[in-house]
Amino acid sequence: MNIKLRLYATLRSYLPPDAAAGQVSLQLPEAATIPDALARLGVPVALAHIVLINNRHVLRDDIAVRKLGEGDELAVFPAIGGG
Amino acid sequence: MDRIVRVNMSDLTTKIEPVPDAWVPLGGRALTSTIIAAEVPPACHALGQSNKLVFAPGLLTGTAAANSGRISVGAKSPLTGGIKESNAGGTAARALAKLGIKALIIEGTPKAADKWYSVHIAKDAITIGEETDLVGKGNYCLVNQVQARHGKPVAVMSIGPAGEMKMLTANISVADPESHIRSAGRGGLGAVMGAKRVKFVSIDDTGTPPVMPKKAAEFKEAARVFAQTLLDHPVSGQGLPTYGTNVLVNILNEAGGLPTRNFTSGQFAAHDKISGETMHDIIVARGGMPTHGCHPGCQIQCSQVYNDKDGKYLTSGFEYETIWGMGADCCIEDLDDIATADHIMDDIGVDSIETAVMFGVAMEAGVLKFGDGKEVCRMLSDEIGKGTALGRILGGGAANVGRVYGVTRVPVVKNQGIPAYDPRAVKGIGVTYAMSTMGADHTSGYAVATNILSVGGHVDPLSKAGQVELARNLNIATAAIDSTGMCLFIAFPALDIPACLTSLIDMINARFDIKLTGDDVTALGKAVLKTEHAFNVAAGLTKEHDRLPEFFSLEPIAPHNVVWDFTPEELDAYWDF
Repeated sequence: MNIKLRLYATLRSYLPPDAAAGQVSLQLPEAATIPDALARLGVPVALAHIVLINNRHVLRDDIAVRKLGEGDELAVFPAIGGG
Repeated sequence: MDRIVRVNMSDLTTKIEPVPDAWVPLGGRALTSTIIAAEVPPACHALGQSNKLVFAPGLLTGTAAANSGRISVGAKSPLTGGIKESNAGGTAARALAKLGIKALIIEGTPKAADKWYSVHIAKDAITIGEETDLVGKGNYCLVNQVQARHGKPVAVMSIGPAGEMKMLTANISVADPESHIRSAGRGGLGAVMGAKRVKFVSIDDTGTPPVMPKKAAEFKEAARVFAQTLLDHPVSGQGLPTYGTNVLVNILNEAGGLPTRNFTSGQFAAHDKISGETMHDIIVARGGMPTHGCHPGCQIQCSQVYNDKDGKYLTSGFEYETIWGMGADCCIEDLDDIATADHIMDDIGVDSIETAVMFGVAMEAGVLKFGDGKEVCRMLSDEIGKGTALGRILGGGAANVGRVYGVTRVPVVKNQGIPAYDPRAVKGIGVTYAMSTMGADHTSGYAVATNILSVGGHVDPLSKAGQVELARNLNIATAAIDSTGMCLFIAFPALDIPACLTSLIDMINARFDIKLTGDDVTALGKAVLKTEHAFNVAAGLTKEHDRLPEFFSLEPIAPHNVVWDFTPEELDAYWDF
């Protein structure tokens, strides 16, 4: 399946140099999980503090096991804050 | 020995008083709100002689406690019609605390309506002087000239032309350690200072020692633990120092809660052009400072210095809410235009949130085009800054512009502009906007932390479940934090690391040799909110003012296509404590 992975803040250092606006397209086997996608770019799962799929948050406990689907847009942030 | 300083602008006298017993355990917001509630008639005109302007450092300001240098400014707000506390960094809080001034109260209005004054506070004297040279000047020039007069970097709190003209967007500027501008931004407090004809307050703490805690050893240990928790938490220790607050553009865009084009969408196509990541790269490439503290003793260092294309200083304290407002909400894609607008807003002395929200409404009204950053900068300088007829309308803020031009999509609560998080898609912060005693103010109870940032657990931002309780608890905690002089960003570690809050309480106890418990601190937060709420009710703000504008219930927002759906009864339960 194909998904889009967007990395933000300090995680952008894991992106290939040609990734535009922090995004890459990935082709993954069926039933691939969030850690599978992150592993493609060498991002440690422990750094994935905030994760959204298709603009919805993934609960912290689900990050390690959540399966991805065709066309999913996966956004991953380290710990960030402001206000 | 702490004291209260009163400056009476009606007869141009000053008075030093002992601290009343009831005020001894208070500081910051708890003290400003207590004084306003006790001494200002709630129904008075906010720009009249009965209103008072109160400046108070926090309970821990002036000590070695990290991040304790915030100054609280209180008054009846001419914008909301209710009580107001707005706090800022800079050097003024520490200077007042070192001088032993628990609160500075400016009261009355001068009989001579054509004269301007300044107030100077030093170790041995408090003086009121007539001011002519700096009248009409912007804040950057003013701070430089005042410090040049004294030959040293005295603390300065001032108003720009907007404050002189008593505009509802006017803020109070506070000089930071580099003589740049921080702001007590919200609620039109600059207009109150202008009504009192005070152009600036300068404070010289020469010859005063740091504030010494009564139990020095205990304080030192608690301060060490507290500082360590700020370092240990990934947000205060790494995220904020690296990217500043503007890192929020992309997460709010991903979550569909980034109000765009005057709150008609939750996502901005050009988000990456204005994001914290992009801003960081620009700052580094131009030789600016990606990391900077807004007050002495700041350990989080979330501020920054942003240079122009030629590598010259353009602005600092360039915050997410400003960049969101001029960027996504007004659709301006050029970060340099937004930075220029930020500089001008600091200089003429207007709140960058209220002003950005106002421009979104003005763009919808057709006063100028969405995305026209150059015209925004021109209007700031040539219309608002010069007080033209159009400038007076714009300077009246978002609600004023909406009324004047017949716009129905006006994002305000109690007349105060709604900041950078859409309440339909981030429902917890919507409860804070509706119920805060301050009008729409994200800092009163930052539910974004738990709705969006996974700090303090997670509450689904799109569901109503748990949001009222979350907002209530955060508003109570924030009222207490705002009373300590602490930067609100200590809330990130405080929500996740128990030692942060216990060491904060230990510092207060060692500072005053008292024995506060966690429950006492919660009780303080509750008492502050109740005091403020009672003032607002007496000033005429009813339950019906604790509501979001109708359009949030009628217009679904993309990408989640959600509306604001709280009932009045659900919201009113906020006050069940």
